[in-house]
Order: sequence, then structure tokens, then C-alpha cells
Amino acid sequence: MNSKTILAVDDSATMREMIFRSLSDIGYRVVLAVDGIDALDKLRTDASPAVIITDINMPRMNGIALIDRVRREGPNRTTPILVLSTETDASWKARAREVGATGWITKPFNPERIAEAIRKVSM
Amino acid sequence: MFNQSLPPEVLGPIKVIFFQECDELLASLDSGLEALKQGSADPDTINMVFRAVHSIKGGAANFEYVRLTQFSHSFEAVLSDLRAGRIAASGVLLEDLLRASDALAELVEEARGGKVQDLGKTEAALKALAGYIRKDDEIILARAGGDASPVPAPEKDWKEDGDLRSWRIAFRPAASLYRRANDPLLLFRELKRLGELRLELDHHDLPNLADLEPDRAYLSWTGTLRSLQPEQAIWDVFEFAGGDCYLEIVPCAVEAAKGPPERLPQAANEAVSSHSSDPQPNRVIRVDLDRVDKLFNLVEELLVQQTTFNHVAGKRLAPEIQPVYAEFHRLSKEIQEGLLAIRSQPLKPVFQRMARLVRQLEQATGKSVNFAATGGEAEVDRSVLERLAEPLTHLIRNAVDHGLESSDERVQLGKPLSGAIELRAYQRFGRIVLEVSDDGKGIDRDRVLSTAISRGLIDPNEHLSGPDVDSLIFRPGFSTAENVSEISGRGVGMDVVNKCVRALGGRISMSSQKGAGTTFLLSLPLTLALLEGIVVGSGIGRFIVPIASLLETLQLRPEEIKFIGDVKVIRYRGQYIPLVGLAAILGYSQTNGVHGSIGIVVEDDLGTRIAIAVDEVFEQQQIVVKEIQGAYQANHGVSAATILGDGQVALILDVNGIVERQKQNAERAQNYDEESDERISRWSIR
Repeated sequence: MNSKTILAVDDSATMREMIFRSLSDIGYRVVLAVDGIDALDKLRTDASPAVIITDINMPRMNGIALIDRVRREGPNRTTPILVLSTETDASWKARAREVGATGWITKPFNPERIAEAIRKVSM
Repeated sequence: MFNQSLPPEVLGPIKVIFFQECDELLASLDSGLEALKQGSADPDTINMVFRAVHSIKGGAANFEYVRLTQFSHSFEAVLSDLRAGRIAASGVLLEDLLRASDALAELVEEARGGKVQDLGKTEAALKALAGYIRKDDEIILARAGGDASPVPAPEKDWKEDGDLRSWRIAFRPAASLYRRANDPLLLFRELKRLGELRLELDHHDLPNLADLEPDRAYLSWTGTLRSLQPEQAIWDVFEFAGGDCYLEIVPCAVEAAKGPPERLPQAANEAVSSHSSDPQPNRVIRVDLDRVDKLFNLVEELLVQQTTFNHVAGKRLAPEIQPVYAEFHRLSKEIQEGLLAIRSQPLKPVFQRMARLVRQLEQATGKSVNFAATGGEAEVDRSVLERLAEPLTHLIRNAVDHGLESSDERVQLGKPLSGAIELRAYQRFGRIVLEVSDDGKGIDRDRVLSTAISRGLIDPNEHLSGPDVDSLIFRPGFSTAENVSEISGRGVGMDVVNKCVRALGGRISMSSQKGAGTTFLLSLPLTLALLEGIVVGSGIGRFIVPIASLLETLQLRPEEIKFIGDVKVIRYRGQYIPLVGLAAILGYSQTNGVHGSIGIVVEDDLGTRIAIAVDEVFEQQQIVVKEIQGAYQANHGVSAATILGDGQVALILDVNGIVERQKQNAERAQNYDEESDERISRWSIR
């Protein structure tokens, strides 16, 4: 089975639980963070994830700022980052791309879609 | 959708979390709106308000609470404009937003399982919200109440449409692709999942090491993908790489793919993606298969005519015409091969089906299986490919269900926890060979023997070699009903597999070692349209004997023909085998007369041998198989027909059918002559 770690960042507890359940079920180790700041903390202290999945709209530090920070500094510069968001505004998508997001998945949450996207971007 | 993917026992607890979260979000929504009403213009507050509605919408969509989703969607749209400064936080707006917040809370209650809400209140709130929504926004204006249509979800569930196509793929990543942590190798891995991928790397632009700039992109790839998947599936592989590469996905003819890769345009700083809306239509043409088949038949007949021509006139040709004729013949052969190549397809799609089958079987049986398939790129004629899945499915089902031990047993036996099943294909002697092997229990010969005896398939005193015992499992009536399980189901026995393979002009064999596993070997022709055969003549016309079942031709001497009961036999390699006349076998005559001075020794797929008496043996040739319709199909002894060089029709003998008929005749004879019983059963087994 997979023992890859996925860092999932979302301010919604429902969302975190969904991601956690569906990815653990297929064998991933899932580390959760509630916003950008928390995610950076987790990246400092926890093993490097194979993929980071992040929401865009979060308090304290949003997804765009998180991606920007990860791409600029630290050992996770080359880690694939998938955005999982209900934002339909194209400008958010463009900004995410600009700062270095690997891919964009639109909610509603579909476990198979996420599993497929993770597979697409990670070894 | 989430609901369809997780079982209720998992979904339940997540819903509880969702509603708890909704309560918190509704509270912060209210307090935020109150603060805004008091005059606060803090962006964080606006953001918090927006996020609350946004999160409720996200969760509601996941659980398919349609009205809640639609309402929060409209609510969010207004808040999004407020956040962006497109509308002002007027007192009127905030009153409307607070009313919307109340309606939202009631819809949450409704979703939680409470009473159906007063629709008037929701309608009014929605109407007020709609007044703020810009017309150009693509927003679903929710109609609270009425037949709510389901929330559109990006469901992606394409099916293999069974149409194998080739695509030319040209891919040149821009540097930005690497910066966004996309990896060409991963994209290729995805492409390989769709079919058979051949790629060539173009590193022409790669500079000397000294000139290499690490953050620039130098490489590009061109190649072909043969896939059953729709075009969109191929584009979807590049969904995350789309804007960061030059990409071409163009349908192509097989030949075009073999050409040298073209140089690709430089992917500039900002890469362009050429989309498929502009395919190159001249690269591929779709041809009705019937037309190809018709052409194929014509070329075959042309070849037959040439063979006849050569036979009749070859030696009389003037020396200066001979090389011209030879070239003529060679070109015809090439056309034939070219047409066969058009009809042939790789085995891969069938292999992929088998991989899916193994995954399903794993779930159904709880066994863990390592499935490996190799040789999927080998190509066979469409006619063979179409009929290959059935026997393979049976073999793999049997391997998982009966071959492999349970995980517990395997651990006790010191075997790896996961069973191994391997599917291998390769070409040998102009045939395709398929191997299905497992590392399971193997076949217990003692049990096979006792089963065969108990079912009356063999004589208890019979002495059979190991391989002979193994081959008993292919006999009709061997399959045991007691081990019919849900997986192998409906008593599918190896005799069915054998029948499928035989119908394809193939042979099946098996080798097994108790405790170590079983391997089934299928050998099949590459095409069903052609057959190597010899033309034989008897008093009732000319026939084709397929080379695959022919062992030898012998001169028949009257003194060597003996009788066992009523049955004529000859000695062949130390064994008495029956000698039959074609007329009797094919029902042309009621007498059991045998005419002919030449014996054709043939063997059916179970190894039973029989000699057929004929008058003449002509040359061996490749013939075009024509199916026969109607009454003849029911005739045991004839499988199909062909047209000979002189335009006459010749029937192709079905050796399996002939042996079958001979056995029936022998049984009839047996009724008259009890004494011959033992000896007849000897040769009818081997």
C-alpha cells in the first residue's frame, strides 16, 4: 500500500474530515492543517509530504500565500501542490498558477477525483 | 460525488461534524454581519462572513443538500461582490444579508432533518439577494422549493468506447511546467494507463554542459499513443500541464507514427497549447471494416490465382517473364500483409480488462493478487482479439478463485502473502502464445484422476501419464459442480475454455506442479481469415485439411487395414487408429466404405488421432477462410469453405468434428459388438 504523506490544508472541519477519511482509506498518511500558518508549521516539523492539497480561502494565511511561501523557500519547493477549492472566480485560479500551484481541483469534494489528481502529480 | 463514494457509516459521523461546523459558521456569520451593520469596514470581518457562507456551501454540495447549496451559492455571490468592493455595504444591503442569514439557518435545519421550511421566507430572501447579483455572472438562481436540479458535479466517467485509435502526441514542456512541480515522466505514466505509448525524446536543443541553464527547458517528446479511450481522456492527462507546454494531440494513421519525429516549435516563455479543435484531418481516415475485409478477400483470391497460375504455367513462362511474375507475386504478398496489419490490434486492451477483472476478484475473494501482464503490444487480427477475452476471463477467474490459496494458507505454507498471476503474450512460429500462470495450489493429479473415474470419463484400469491426467480437465463433463462458487460461477469448466480456444483454431495445454502453481498455455493463430492447409481430393470432391491438425500422409496398403469390430483401423506409430472415408463421415453415403489410397493422419485438440482416406493430395497453400451460412454449419466435419484457384468451392475439414463423429459411429458399432468394447475405448481416449 501507499505510505505517502499528504498534507491537507482546509479551514473547514468537514472538509478536513472528508479528505482525511477518503485518503486514509486508500492508504495515504494524511497530515491536516487548518490554514496557511498551520501548514507551514506542519511542514517544518513533519516529514515532507508527497503532495500538498490546499484550500484557497482560509483565515490568517490563505492558500495563495501558502503556495507562494512554499515555492520560495524551504525543502518543499518542488512538492506538487493541488488546490482544492469551490472558488469559481478565474482570477483566483490564475493567481494560484502564478505563484506555482501544480493543479486545481474544483469542489464538490470527490474522493476519486482527488485520488486521481494525487496520482497524476506524484511518483 | 462524495455520497456515492463513501458508505453511510463513514458519512454519518462526517455529517455530524458538518452540522456542528454549520452552527459555528452561522454564529460567526451573524456576528460579522452585525459588526458590519454597526459600521465596521474591516476586510477581515467581510472575509469571515464570506468564508462562513462559502464553507456551508461547500459542505452542502458534498452531501447533496440541493436547496441549501443553491441558496448559499447566491448568498456567496453577493458577499463576493461586497468583498471585492463591487457593491457598497449599505444599511439596506445589510438588512437583506441578515434576512438571508436567517433563511440560511433555517435551510441548515431543514438539511439536518428538521421541519420543511416556510418557503415564502426563503423565496423573499433569495429575491432580495438576486437584486444584487450582476447579470453577467454565471450564477444559478436558485428556486427554493420547486424541482431542484442536482448540483452539477464534474463527474468524469468515460468508458472505453471500443474504438482503438492512434494519436500522435507532441509535447514540449516550458520551464514553467517544472517550476509548478509538474513532471513529464508522470504525464507519460498517465498516458501509458490509457494505452500503448511509444515516445521518442528529442534532446536536440540540449546545449553543452557549460551552456546549460538549469531553469530552462530543453527537452521535447514526440510519439504515438494507441488507445481505446476518447480523445478527451488524453487531453485530461495534461490538465495540470496545459498552459505550461506546447502540446499536440492529433489522430494519426499507423504509418505516420513510424516516421521520424518532427522538430517541435520552441516553447517560448509563455507556452502555447494547440488544442484539438484543429486536428489534421488528412492523417487518419476512418474506413468501414467491411470494406477492408472485402479488399482483403480480393487480395487473398488474387494470391490463390497466382499460386494456381504458377502451378499451371510457371514452368512454361518465358525466362524474361519469370522475374516480372515473381515481383508481381511479391507485391501481392505485401499488400496482403499490409491489409492484415490494418486489421490487427494490440492485445493491450484485453490485458487491461484482465487487470480490472483481477482487481474485482480481489475484492470478491478477499485474496491479494499481484497481477503482471507482459507482451500486450503483440498484435493479433481483430477477429482473434474479439474472441480472446472469454477464455482468458475463465482462466484468470479460475486462477484467482481455485488456483490461489487464501492469504492465511499462503502464510502457513511460507509463500508470499499475495498470490502472483502472470499473463504473458508472445509470438512464436506465426502464432500468438498466451500464458496464464499462478503460484497457487497446482492441480492435484490424484483428485483429477479420481474425479474422471467417478464421472465415467476413463476406465479405472487405464494407465495414464501425468500430462494425460492433466488433460482430463479439458474433457466435457469433467468440471465438478461442487466447487462452483460465486466467482467462477455457473459451473464454468475447463471444457468451455477448451471449446473457446478450439473455435479460434487454437490449442490449450496445461502444466502444473502440486503446491507450486499452474500454467495454462494457449496457442492461437494470428488471424482467423487465413489458414494453412493442404488440398485433398476424394471421390466426392476436394477438401482442405488444416495444417495445424495434420500429422502425416501415408500410403494405404490394403493388407495393413484391419478391423476392430466394424471399424477399420490402421497401425500408426504403434497404435491402432480408425480409418474413415470422407463420404461416410460427411454423410454423403450410408455405407462405411473407405476409398482411397492415401491416408491423412490428423489429430484433434485432445490428441485423438484418426486417418482419413483420400485419393489425391495436392499442394499445401494458404487459403482464405469463408464462413458458411445455413445448413452446412450444422454439419459435423466441415468448419468453413474456401474458393480454390479454379473458382471451385472446397470445404475445410473440421478435424474435431470428424473425430467426434467417428466416436459416435464407433459407439453405434459398439452396440453390435460387445467384444470390441475394450479395444475401441482404448483408442477413443488416445
